Amino acid sequence: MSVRIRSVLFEPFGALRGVELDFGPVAGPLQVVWGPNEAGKSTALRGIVDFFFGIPRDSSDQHERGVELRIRMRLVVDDDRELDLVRRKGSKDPLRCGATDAPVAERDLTRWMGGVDRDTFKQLHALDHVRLREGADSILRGEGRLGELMLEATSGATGLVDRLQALRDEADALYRPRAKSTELSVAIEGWKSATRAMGQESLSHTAWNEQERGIAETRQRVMDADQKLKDARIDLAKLEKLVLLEDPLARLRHRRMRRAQLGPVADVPEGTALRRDELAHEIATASGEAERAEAELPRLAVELESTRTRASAVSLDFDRAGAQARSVAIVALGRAIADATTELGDMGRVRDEALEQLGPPPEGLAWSARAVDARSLTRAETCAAERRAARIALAAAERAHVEAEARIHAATPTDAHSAAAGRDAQELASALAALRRASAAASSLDGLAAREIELTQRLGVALADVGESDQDALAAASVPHPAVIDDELRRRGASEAKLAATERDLLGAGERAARAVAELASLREGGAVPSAADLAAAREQRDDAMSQAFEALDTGALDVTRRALRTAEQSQRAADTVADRLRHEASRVEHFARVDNERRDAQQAASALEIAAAQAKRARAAGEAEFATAWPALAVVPLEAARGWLARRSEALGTAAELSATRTRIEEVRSELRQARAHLLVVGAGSNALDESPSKLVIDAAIASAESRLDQERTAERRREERAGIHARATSDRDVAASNLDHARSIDDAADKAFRQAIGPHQLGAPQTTEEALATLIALAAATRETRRHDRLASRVGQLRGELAVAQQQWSDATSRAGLEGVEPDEVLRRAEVAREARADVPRIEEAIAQRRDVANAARARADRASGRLADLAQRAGVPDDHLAAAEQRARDARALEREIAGLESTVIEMTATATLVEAEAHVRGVDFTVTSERTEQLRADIDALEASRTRDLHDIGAQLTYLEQMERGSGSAADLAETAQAHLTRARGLARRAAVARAAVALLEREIERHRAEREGPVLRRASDLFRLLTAERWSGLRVGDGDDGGPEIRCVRGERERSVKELSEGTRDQLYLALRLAALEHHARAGVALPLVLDDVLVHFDDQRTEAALIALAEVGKTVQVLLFTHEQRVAEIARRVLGQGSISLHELGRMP
Amino acid sequence: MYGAPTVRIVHAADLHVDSALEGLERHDGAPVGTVRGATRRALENLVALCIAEDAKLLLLAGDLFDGAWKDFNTGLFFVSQMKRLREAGIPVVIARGNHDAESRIPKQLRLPGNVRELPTARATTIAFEDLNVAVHGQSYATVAVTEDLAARYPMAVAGTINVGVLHTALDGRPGHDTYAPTTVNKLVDRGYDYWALGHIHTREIVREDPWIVFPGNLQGRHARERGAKGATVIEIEGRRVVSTRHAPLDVVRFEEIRIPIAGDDGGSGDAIDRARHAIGVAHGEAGGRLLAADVVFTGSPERHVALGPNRDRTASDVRSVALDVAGDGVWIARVRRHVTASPTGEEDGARKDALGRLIAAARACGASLDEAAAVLKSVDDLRDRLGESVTAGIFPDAASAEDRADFFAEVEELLRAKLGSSPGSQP
Repeated sequence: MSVRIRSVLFEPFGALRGVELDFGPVAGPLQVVWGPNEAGKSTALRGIVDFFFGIPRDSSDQHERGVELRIRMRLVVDDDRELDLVRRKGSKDPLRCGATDAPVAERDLTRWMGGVDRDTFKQLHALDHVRLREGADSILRGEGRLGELMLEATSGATGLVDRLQALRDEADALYRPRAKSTELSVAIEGWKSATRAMGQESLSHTAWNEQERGIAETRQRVMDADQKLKDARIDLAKLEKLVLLEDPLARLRHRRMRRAQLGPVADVPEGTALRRDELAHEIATASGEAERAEAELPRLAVELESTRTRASAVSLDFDRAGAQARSVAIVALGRAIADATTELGDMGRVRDEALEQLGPPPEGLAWSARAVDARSLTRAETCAAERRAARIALAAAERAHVEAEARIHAATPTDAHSAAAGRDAQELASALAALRRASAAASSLDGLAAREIELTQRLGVALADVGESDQDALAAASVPHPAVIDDELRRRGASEAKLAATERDLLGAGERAARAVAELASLREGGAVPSAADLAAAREQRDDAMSQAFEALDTGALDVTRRALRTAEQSQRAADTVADRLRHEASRVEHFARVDNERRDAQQAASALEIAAAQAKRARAAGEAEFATAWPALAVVPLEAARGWLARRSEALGTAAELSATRTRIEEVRSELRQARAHLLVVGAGSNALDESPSKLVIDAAIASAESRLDQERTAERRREERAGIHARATSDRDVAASNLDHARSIDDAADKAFRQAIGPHQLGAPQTTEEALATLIALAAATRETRRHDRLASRVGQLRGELAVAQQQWSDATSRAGLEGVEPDEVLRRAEVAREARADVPRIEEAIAQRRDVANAARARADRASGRLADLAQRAGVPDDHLAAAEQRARDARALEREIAGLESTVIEMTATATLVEAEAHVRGVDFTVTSERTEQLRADIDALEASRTRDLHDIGAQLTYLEQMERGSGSAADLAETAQAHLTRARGLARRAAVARAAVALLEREIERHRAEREGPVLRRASDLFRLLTAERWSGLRVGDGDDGGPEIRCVRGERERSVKELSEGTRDQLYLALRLAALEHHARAGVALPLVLDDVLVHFDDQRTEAALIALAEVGKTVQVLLFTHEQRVAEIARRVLGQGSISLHELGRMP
Repeated sequence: MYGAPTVRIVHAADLHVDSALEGLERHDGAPVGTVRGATRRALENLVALCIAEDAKLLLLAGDLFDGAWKDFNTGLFFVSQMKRLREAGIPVVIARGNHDAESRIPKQLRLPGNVRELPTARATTIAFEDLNVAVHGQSYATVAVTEDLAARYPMAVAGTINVGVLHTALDGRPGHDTYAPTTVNKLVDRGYDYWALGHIHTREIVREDPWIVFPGNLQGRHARERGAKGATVIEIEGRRVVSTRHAPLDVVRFEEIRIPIAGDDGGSGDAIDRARHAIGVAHGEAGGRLLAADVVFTGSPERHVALGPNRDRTASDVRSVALDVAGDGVWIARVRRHVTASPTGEEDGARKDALGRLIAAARACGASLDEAAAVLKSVDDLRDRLGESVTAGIFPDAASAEDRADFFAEVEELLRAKLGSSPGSQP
């Protein structure tokens, strides 16, 4: 399949608007497109690529928003079919038919383009000077290795050498033998490390048992120590008791001796001396106390007399508190009267000023008749306020009424429309809606028609794909479920495998049989085999020779004997040889038989396998025949492709169904359009302009006209409705305003009347304004208020004076009764206080005198009793009272020693566990306390050691039990490490997979490079050699393949008798070499597959004029196979092309200004 | 009139205590701590379930352990959990299966008194008179028991609830060795009320009259053991098993989330967004457990282009959205790409250029052993060096058409990524 661009029109695309490049109807000429810089050359190149593969959403060629990018191209496919297509920017049906604007499926274009995608097109069918130089550099880096070079040239994937190396590096980065830093090695090491650690963390059964055994042993040690401790403590206790006896026995002896030294002692009770001292002290104390009490009595008698005198100075019935209260009241009343009198004067002045300000009252009127109280004033003020508000409301109501009248006048309708107009609008709207639906249906009609065409085409292709022309027959054909095909494939695969295995076995059996036959032949070729007769003859010959030898010996002839013996010896050897050979042959025969058996077995096996193979083939053929019979529809495709065929069949049937649905829809749409004719008449379309099925254009025009009319109708209707609303609202407002006006007037009248009633009783005289009347009222109210205050204060002064007179009379009466008449009030009060205090002191002094007398009497009695008890003590001790202390001390010492002796005796009896002191003394008699003490110390040391050991063991047991408890919970650390190891292993496995994939990719790529080279080396290299010669203007005679440094094939350039490796070429020559290879590969590719245009962008900028000439000649040569579009900004290139190639071989196009 | 009180028995199997979870490749932010000791915590959950349900009996139908203990702690942990049940007054009957057969794990543990182990010599009946339940069963003496053990189980005891405990694959289940083979009919013939089976890791109620139940394993251990795992609670009223229900007890839930790459995916972002949604849904369905998910993008080779060539980047993006949508509640174990057939079957295959041929060669290797053999030789030395532990199941089995197809689909994808475009190419 070949594709050639006939013409391309940019309408618009980037800066290109309406620019067309027409490459003409004839294939062959080199198409040179010249344009200076900024002429749109690059834009045109992008446009060509975007046409084939779509305009990107973010295209930089979208210079203006809202402008649709469109590229129209006419393509010639296979030299006999011309396509007119338009590429639009957008996501919905961007590819359309240029003539009908019907959508065209992308897959159709993709199919014409041979499945080449954008990247591939850019790699393979586009070349600029940068890529040319990259390719040339890549040749150098690849050192001319032919495989890479060929693949690179034919794929356009520059840098293949680098990419292959990158792939190798990636594989190596994952894993290299003996490298420890690769990701995979690290992961594996992590796995191994975690596994090792897991082993270390694991608890073995043995360790557990040892732990339990350890605890048991320690427990036994503790129990042993406990027993020893118990025994030692018993011994120690015994010894300690003996040791403890040493001291009490010594003290017992000492106390007994001291008691004997005291001799007989009087029984003086404990505390006798102390009691004597206490009694003497009590006698002295009581005597002193009696004397002091008696000494105070005279002073107290004098004090009593003086007090009684002071108490009798004021009579007992004088009420001092009442007198003091009256005195204070008299003073306070005096002060209050003075203050009120002063205030009364001030009020009189204020009242007079108010009256003076008011002026004289109307003649004949008293003040009381004009008095205005606060309530009357408040009422008058309220009425005045209401009167003012009523006036304001009245004015507002009058204004509202006037305004409403004005609005009514303005809104009175002047151009009432008929109700019929509204009905017209309704009908029009209904028709319009129907027409819009019809328009939508009409617009879908084109799409449906295009879709019908597309589906028809697709159905044709799909039916062709499945080898069927009749879709009904296709639908009716019975086809199996895909699983049946899978089963059949599996069955055939199994049958094939079985047959192959049988054939392999057959081959093996045949080979074994052949080997056996060969070996038998070899055995047979072992030469003539002697028989038993030969052996007998040899032996007979030997015996004859021996007989002759003996005979010769008998003759005595030495020579004869020697010859006869030699003959006999030879005969003997010959006979031995025959015998040896026969033995050897016996084993050979045995081996021969075995090999022959093997041959027979192998041949029999081969026969059986041949039968089995034949049966398997027959079974396979029968199975296939049965399958073909069951599913005849699949006869058109190989079974391996059956699933794909089923998918295509399904797709074809789907397409057929969709086509049928589309056609039904088309009919429905057309029916809708026929019905739309009546609606067109409604909206005023002339009947003479209407077809039976009106077109979308007619419908849309009618819709536009009807929409306009409908808008006008609706606008007028809205205005009428608005005006009527205003009139109604204004009328309503006027009625309300009139009502409000009446109401305001009645309120105003009522307020006026109320005010006049409020001021009427106050005799304000001639008619005044509301404010003046109110001011007069306020002044009257102020004068009334001041007069009333003055009167109330004058009344209070009179009341105070009355109270003062009463208080003064009461004071005079009281002092007269107390005999203090004429004495100043303060002095009266002081004397009354002194008398009251003296009367209170008299009983106190009398009580003190009685108390002193009682104290003295009691003290005298105590002293007498103490003297009597002291005399009793001396008498009981039998000593004078001054010897009582010494007698008491001796008696005390004797008692203490006796108590101590008794206690020690009890201790000894108790410690020796005996019943009597005699037994106790017998118990310890003969004990050596020095030795006992040492033994005790030893036992204590032993016990300390045992306890320390036991404590350690107990600690050990505690620790072991704790550890055991931890173990019993089952540590999870080893399990955790197993998880960790598993995670590392998972990581390693993932990396291993990647490493394997990378390695396989390298291997596959290397293999394909080699295959590619092998396939293309001949034709492509020959053509590249010719083109290289052309491109270099025959300075180089061609290319050949030589051995590279690594032994692989390497490309070499030939000049005369010499060859050059790519490393020895100049940069320009390498460019030419790369171009030659690319062009040759492209030609080969075009011949083998799809011939797409080659687009060259300023590819000759590094070429001088001579090379440019050569390159243009070569490109014109290639242009005979594929279309070559050479874009250049160099004027010289265009000129050289025109000069060198001539009119027939070049087509020159201009973008912008021509030279 | 009140009905008989409900007695509950818990039936579990295939605990595989301390067996490591597989296939969870660690990455930054992976919730490693949650995964740690998952099988142990599942066992703790089982014990907690028994206590919470006031279960009167726990039946463990084999494979309590994954094999011979490398670490005695495994057994000690099991004992500690059984002691919890002892303190709660719950007896336990255990049978040994192929993984913990007597020959693999000798009796080294002193089990607490509430645990009764079924013998290996012959089928035995343990009567729980207070429950009116008779448990019949037999343990495995060796790893591979190929005779029908159930055939020698005693007939049902009249007037009591009869429960059979057996580690078996019945008449075969995919992915499991057929040990102690038997048939449903033979089990029914014993006249039992409930067959507590083990060995099959997928929960299955084989039959309801009588009940024949595989509870599945307690905790999924790798990506192929997906979905809720746990135990079965049996409810008995009077002399009848009235119902069973599944109690999920797993702490890590394995799932595979498949994301078809849509035709309108303009870039990896669209597919990743849909992965975000799917991960969110799966996380919600896991009910608060850690979700260990393999995310698999599916689609034709052309659609995989939308994800871009960098697999690490895709995995990182998926893990990032998983972190965003579920925090540390999700562990994206692996992010894989599954290449399906092209919808048209022709795009790249029809390409006649060198890359098209290369891709066709990769596909041919996937389809044909003869084509693949030479290429696969390039990984043989790697396979030898890394060893079986690392490469098993990872390196393709050349004889397996599926293995080859998967492997060479990855090779194709790598080649596309490396050779697909030419830098700086402008027409």
